[in-house]
Amino acid sequence: MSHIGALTHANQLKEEPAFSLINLRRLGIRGGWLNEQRKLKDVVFYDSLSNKELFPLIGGRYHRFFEAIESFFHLNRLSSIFFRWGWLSKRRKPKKTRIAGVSAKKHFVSMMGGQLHNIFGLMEHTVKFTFHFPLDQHDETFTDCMERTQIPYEVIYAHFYEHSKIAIFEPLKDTFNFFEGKSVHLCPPPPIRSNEYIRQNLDPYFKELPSSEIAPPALRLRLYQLYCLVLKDLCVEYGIVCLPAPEQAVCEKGFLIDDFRNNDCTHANEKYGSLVFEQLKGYLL
Amino acid sequence: MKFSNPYLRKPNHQFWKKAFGRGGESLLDPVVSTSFKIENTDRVVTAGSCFAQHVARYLTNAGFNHFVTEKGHPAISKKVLREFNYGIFAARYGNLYTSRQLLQFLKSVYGDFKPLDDAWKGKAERWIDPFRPNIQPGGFVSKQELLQDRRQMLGFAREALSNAQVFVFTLGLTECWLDKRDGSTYPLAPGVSGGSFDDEIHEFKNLSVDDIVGEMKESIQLLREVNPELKVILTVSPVPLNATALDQHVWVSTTYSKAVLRVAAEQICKEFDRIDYFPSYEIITAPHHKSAYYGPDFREIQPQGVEHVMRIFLKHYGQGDIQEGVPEEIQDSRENDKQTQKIEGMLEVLCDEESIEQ
Repeated sequence: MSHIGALTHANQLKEEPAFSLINLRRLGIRGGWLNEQRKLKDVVFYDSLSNKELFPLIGGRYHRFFEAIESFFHLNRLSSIFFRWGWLSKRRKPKKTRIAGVSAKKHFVSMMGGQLHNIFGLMEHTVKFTFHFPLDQHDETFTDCMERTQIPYEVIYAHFYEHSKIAIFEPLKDTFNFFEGKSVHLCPPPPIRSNEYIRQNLDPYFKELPSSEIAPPALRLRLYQLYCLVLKDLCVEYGIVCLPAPEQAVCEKGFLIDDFRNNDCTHANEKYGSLVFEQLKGYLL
Repeated sequence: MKFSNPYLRKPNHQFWKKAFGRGGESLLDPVVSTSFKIENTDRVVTAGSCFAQHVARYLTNAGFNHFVTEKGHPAISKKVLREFNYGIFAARYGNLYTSRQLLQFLKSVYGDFKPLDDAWKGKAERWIDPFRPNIQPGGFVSKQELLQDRRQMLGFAREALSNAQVFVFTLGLTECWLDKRDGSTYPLAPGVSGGSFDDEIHEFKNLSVDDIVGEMKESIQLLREVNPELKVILTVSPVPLNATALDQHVWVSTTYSKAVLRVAAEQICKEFDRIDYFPSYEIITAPHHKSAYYGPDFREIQPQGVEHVMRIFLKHYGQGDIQEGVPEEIQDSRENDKQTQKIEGMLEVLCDEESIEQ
């Protein structure tokens, strides 16, 4: 979690867990999606919140299990004492076929890290920036490019890559290997085009940033597309599948179609979640 | 008739036996006097060859005001900014190995230099800046991005040089490659890290003492036109040539090159006020150290060597709250091998010349 917090130009974002909860709900995993999810019994859905519950147990590093217990019951130093006294023996090693009650014979869907591009560029930075996007096929421009600081494309790519690797892919590496089904990472939903809509539905933590100005749509779009490229490359590196946003939810310019907006500034709604669900069913089942 | 000779009653530093004192080679201090001091608030800008990067880093660690105007965007992590060579020098201008490169750079910053060939095609549809070929790992994604980045860098460099109080320049090489058509000078031969070599267009030049003195004079005049109070420190890089374009041994080319640079530096210092020669070259290459300041490849400078140079630098130029002595990281490195490796990583420098072998 702290990794994601540290990403931000938005160092001002105080409550990282809030972001996770919102991410979880609004992508439609909880709430209206629960019934649908039950139909996909062979799939484990995973984001930065559930990561807290599952991850400590994965990878045969069972001292993490004790750390989790310790943290829950506030039993400081319990695990270190057990280790020192040699009480942790092989018999405590979790069975490789199940973790936290979940069978390994399942598919695995990661939805972590869906906000990095927004944290980076939903709101204007106090040092306004732009960057060249070589794959920009959309006729979206903004007029003050020359007055902005240019960040080289490769620099932003490296920044996104570095943080996604640390915050998502390295922690999940063992998990990808644990599950015997397919491992999938979902790309986040595309950006909302309307600055007015974003302004009216701004989440509280974005309001705390020094700049109250919303970034130009074209810049948001480029950041999103670059982030999806990074996720795609990392998925290839870790041998898992990267699922892009469902085509039906994306307008020809590349933004989220209005029907799929949630009542906040970054997430998609449950209707979008249903499209993702269908997309997943098509791929996994 | 009196018994006399011109060496009588001369100070110790003029005599080999008395000059080094007792107690070990680390006491070697060939600096006799300096023409100015550096306050810890003075804005210090550095440029030059790979060795200048060491100087810049130590100035920062020692509490000098190493003046960096192009720091990279604050939203980007420090690790990534370092990888992309932000903060090494005042702006991302990369290594300036020769006096000709420095002059060309200053003409780009302040004036009229517009190269005919301003971008090279690299691998995988990427673009390489001919004047700082290794500044952007992976290259630029378009020519437009490259040119905009260069414009931006020149703006930051202008800000730095116009407001600097001290300019430290390390002369690195005499050998260079030019474009015959407009005289553009490159830090690397075309074709090594981008572009392609064409002997109809490109030519080799080994700068002479006169070339260097003339170009350095013009550079200093250009700098002082916009910044009349600027103080300058010249050094000669002790790093041997990675490769020579001449049909002779690389060591012979190295000694020629360093001798020319050393003579040129001496002449320049004699002609201008407030310009000092600082003998980092002499400290590293002194026979007392038995080449111990060179790494296993006999080329890279070891952290202890850089530390020695900078200790002497601080001793003579530092004042106020500047911390004299060894930076903490170096002290730790002596005690812990793992830490030494870390320091070596820290001291890893951007060296265009190494591309020649790749």
